[in-house]
Amino acid sequence: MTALSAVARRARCPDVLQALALFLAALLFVLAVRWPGGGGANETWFALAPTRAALLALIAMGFGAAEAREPPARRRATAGAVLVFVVASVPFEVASYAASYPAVPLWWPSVLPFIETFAYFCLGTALARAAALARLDAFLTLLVPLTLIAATWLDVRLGLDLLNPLTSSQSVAWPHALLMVALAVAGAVWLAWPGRRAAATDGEGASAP
Amino acid sequence: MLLLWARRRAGGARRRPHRPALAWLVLVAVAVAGSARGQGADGARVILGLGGKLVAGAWNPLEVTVRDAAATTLEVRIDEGDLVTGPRIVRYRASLPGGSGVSVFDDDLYVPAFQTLSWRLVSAGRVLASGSLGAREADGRPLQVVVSADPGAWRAAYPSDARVVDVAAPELPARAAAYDGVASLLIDGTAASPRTASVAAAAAGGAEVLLAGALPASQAGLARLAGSGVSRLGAGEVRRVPASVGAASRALADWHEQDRGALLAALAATPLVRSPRSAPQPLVLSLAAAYALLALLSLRFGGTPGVLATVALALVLSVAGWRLMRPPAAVISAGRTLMVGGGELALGLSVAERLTLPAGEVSVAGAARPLTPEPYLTDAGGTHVQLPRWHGVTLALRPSLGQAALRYQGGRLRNAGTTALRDVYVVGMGAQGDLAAGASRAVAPGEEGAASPMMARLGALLPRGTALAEGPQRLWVALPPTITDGGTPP
Repeated sequence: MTALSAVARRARCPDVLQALALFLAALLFVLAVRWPGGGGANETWFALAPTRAALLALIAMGFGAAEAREPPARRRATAGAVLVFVVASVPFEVASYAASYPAVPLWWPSVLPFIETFAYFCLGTALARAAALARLDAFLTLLVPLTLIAATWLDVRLGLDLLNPLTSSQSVAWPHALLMVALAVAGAVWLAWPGRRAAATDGEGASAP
Repeated sequence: MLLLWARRRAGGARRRPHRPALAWLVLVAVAVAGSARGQGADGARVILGLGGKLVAGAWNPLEVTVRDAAATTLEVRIDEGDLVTGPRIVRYRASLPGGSGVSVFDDDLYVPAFQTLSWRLVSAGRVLASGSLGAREADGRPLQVVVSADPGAWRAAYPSDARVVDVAAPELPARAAAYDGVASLLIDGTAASPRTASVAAAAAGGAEVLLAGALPASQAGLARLAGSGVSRLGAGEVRRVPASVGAASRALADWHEQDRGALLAALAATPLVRSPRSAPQPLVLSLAAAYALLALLSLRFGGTPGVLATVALALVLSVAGWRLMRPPAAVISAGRTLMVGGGELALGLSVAERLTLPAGEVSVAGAARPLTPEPYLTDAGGTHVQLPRWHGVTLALRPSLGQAALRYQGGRLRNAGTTALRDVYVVGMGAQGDLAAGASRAVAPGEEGAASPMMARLGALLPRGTALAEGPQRLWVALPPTITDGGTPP
C-alpha cells in the first residue's frame, strides 16, 4: 500500500471527514461575516488567516494526541490526512489574500501552514505521550486546547512570536518558522524511526478505518 | 532673552562693565534666529525663503552654499503638528556633491505652518551648520518684494501689515515655484537689473510684477515683458506704472491674484482613484460552498484519485481565485494637471493621487506635498508618504512652468498646442466647442453651463472671460487678456 492510498483511506474515515467539514464550514462562516458587501477595504484575509491557522493547529494537535498510541503507519497516514486539510483550505486563503492585498508576501501563508500543521501534529503526539507518563490521559481532550491557549498566552505575555498560531500568518516571523521547522523535523524523525521497529504492526495500523 | 539680559544688567552693571558688548552679541543672535538664514563656521550657508523670509503654507526657495566640503547632506525637519494631533513630522533631505571651491544648491521646499523647523548640514559625519525656527516665525502672509536701491521709499505703497522685503536682484531665483509665497515684485530700475528669466518666473508663478518708472536701457528686457503697459504672463502679470508710490499702491490694490490653493482644491475635489471593488459576496460564498462540498465528496468516495482530485481542484481554484480577486496593482495612481496660462507661459498646478492596498510607502517623483495632513519625506527619489492599508493620499506637486497651449491672441482664442482641445468653455460666455490644433476662434456667446463639473468648479474661481478647455491629461486655462494686451476681454 502506498503512502498516498494510506492517506486516502484515512481521509475517508468519518472522524477526519467530520473535522474537515467543520473546518471548511468555519472558513465559510468567516467569509460570510467578513467579505465586504459593497466597496471599501477588503479585510477578509486578516480574519480568515488566523482562523485557519488556529483551527489547523487545534485539529493537528488533536489528531496527533489522539493517535499517539496508534501504530506509526497509521500516525503517518493521519498526519497526511491532516495535511489534506491544509491543501483543501488553500483556495480560501489565496482568494482572501488576493482580495485583501496584505503586505505579507504570499509565500509565507502558503508554506507556513504545512510546516506549522505538521509541527502541531507532532506536538500533539508528544503531549499525549507526556500525559500518559504523568497519568493524565483522561484530561487529554482538555490538555490539547489548553496547551494551545497557554502557548498563545505565553507569546502574548512575553511579546514573542514563537507558538501563537493566531498571529503567525500576519507577518514573516522567522523565530516562529524556525521553531516550527525544528518541531516538524523532530516529529518526522520520531514518526519514521519507530516505524522500523514496529514494521510488523504497519499493516494493521494502516488498515484501521 | 533680551528682557532677561536687561533685568540682570540693572543689578550687575558695576561688577561687569563689559556687558554692552554682550548685549550686541545677544541682539545679533536674536536677529539671526528671527530669519531663516544660517551660516556655519566652515562657510556653509543655508537660506530658506526669499531674502531669508519664509512664507508658511507656500513653496519657498532654498539655497545652500558650501565651500571646500566633501559630499554634504541637508536635512530639514518640520513639525507641523498641533496640540490635538501631536507631532507630525515633515522631512526634507538633499544631497550636495562635494568638491573644492564653492558649491551652490537651489531647490524649492514647501513649508507648512509649523511648530518647529530645524535644519542641519552634515558632511562626513560632521555638522557644518544648523539652525531652528519656532512657531512665531511661521508667518503665512505673502511677501511683497522690492528690488530697489532705496526700498524704504516704496514702503508706503503697501498696507501697514504687509511683509515688505527688499531683495538684491541676483537673489531672485528663476523658478516659478519659488514665488509661490510672493504677492508682488516691484522693480524701479535703481538697483542692479534682475534676470529677465527671474522676473518672468515671478510673474508666471502668480505674482504681480510692477515695473515702476522708466527703466534704464540695461533693463529693456524687463520692459519688454510688460508689452505696451500690462501683460499677462502665466498666472500673474507684468505691469508698468509711473514711479510714484500712489500709482504702485493703486496697481497693487487692483491686482486680484488667483487663489491657487482653491484651484488645487477644486482640482482634487473628486477622487481620481477609487478603491477596487471586491467580488460580490453571494458569488464568493456560493463558489466556496460548492468547492467545500466537492472536496468532501471527493475525499469520501474518491479514494486515492479523490485525494488527487481534491489537491488538483484546490490548486485550480487557487489560481482562478487569485486571477479573479487580485486587484491589478498594489498602488493605484492617477493625476490631473491644470495649466493656468496667460500669454505664452502657463503655470502647471498638478495633483497626484495614490491609493495603496497593502500598508506601505507611496511615492511621487519630485517635490510634492500632501493636501491632507500627513507626515512625509522629500528627497532625491521624490516625495514619500507612509499609508495604512487601503488608504489614499492626494499630493500637490511643486508648481512648474510650461508653454500655454490655450491662449488669447489678438482678441481670439487660439490653440497653440499640437493636439485638439475639447469642450472649450469661457466663463460668462458659455461653451465654445472644440478647438483644433493651431486653430483660433473669436469668443461668442454659447450654450450656458460648463462641459463638466470640474470645469464648473474651476470656472467659479476664475475671472469672467477666462477660457477653459480639456486637453490630453491636462486642463487648460487661459486668463482673459487685459485691454492693452492686444485684445479686449470678452
